[in-house]
Amino acid sequence: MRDSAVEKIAEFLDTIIQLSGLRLRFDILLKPSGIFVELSGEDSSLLLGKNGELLNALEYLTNKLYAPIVPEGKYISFDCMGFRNKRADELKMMARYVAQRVRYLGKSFTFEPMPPAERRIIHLELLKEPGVRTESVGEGSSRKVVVYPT
Amino acid sequence: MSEIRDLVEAISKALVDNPDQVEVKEIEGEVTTVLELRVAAADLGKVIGKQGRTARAIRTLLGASGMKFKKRFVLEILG
Repeated sequence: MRDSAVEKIAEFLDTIIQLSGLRLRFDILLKPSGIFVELSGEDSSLLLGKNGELLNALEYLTNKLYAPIVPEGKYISFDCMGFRNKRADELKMMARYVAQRVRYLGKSFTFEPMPPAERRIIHLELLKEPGVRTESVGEGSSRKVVVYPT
Repeated sequence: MSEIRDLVEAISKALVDNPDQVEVKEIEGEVTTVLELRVAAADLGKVIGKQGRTARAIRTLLGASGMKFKKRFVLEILG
C-alpha cells in the first residue's frame, strides 16, 4: 500500500525532472513519521533559491497529488542538502534577535511573508522568550508573523 | 514535440478530473515561449488552486526550467 504511493511519487518526479531539464536526483525514504524526498544533483541551487521556492513548489505539487494516497494521511516532506534544518536555525536566530528588538523598542515587528511551517518555527521559538507575543496576519501566501511587546 | 509542453501537460493531467480535456498549445517566440493551457471548466480550480497556489507552483517550476533551456516560459491558463 505504502509502496504504491512511493512508486507514484517516484514516477511523477522522474517525469518532472526529465522534462524540465533540471539535473537532479532523488531518494525516497519511508519513515514512521512520513515520506521523505531527498533531492540532490548539480541543480540543487535552483531548488534552494528564494528561500527554497522551487523545493517548496515541488513539495506542494507532490502533496497535492499524492498525499491522499499516503496511508495515515502522512505528509510528504522534501529536502535538499540539509536546507530545512539550516533554514530552521536561521529562522530561530532571526526570531530571537527580533524578540530582543521588540522588547527594547517596545514596538511590534512584522516578518516577511512565509509558508506555514516557517511561521510555526518562529511562533514556537518565541514562546520561550519573555516580553513578547506572536500572531499571524494576512491571508494565503502573504500571511506573516507579527511580534508584539507584552 | 517540446519537452516543456509535455511537462505542463503531464502535471495538468495529473491534477485534473478530466485529463482527456487537457490541451497545451506552445507559442514559441525568440526569448519567450507562451504555454496556453486549456482544461475543462470544472477543472479550472484544480490547476489554479487556492489563492492561485497551484498555478504559482507550476510557474516556479517553469521559471527554473527556463534557466536550463535559456528561455522564458509563460503559462497562461485559459478557461
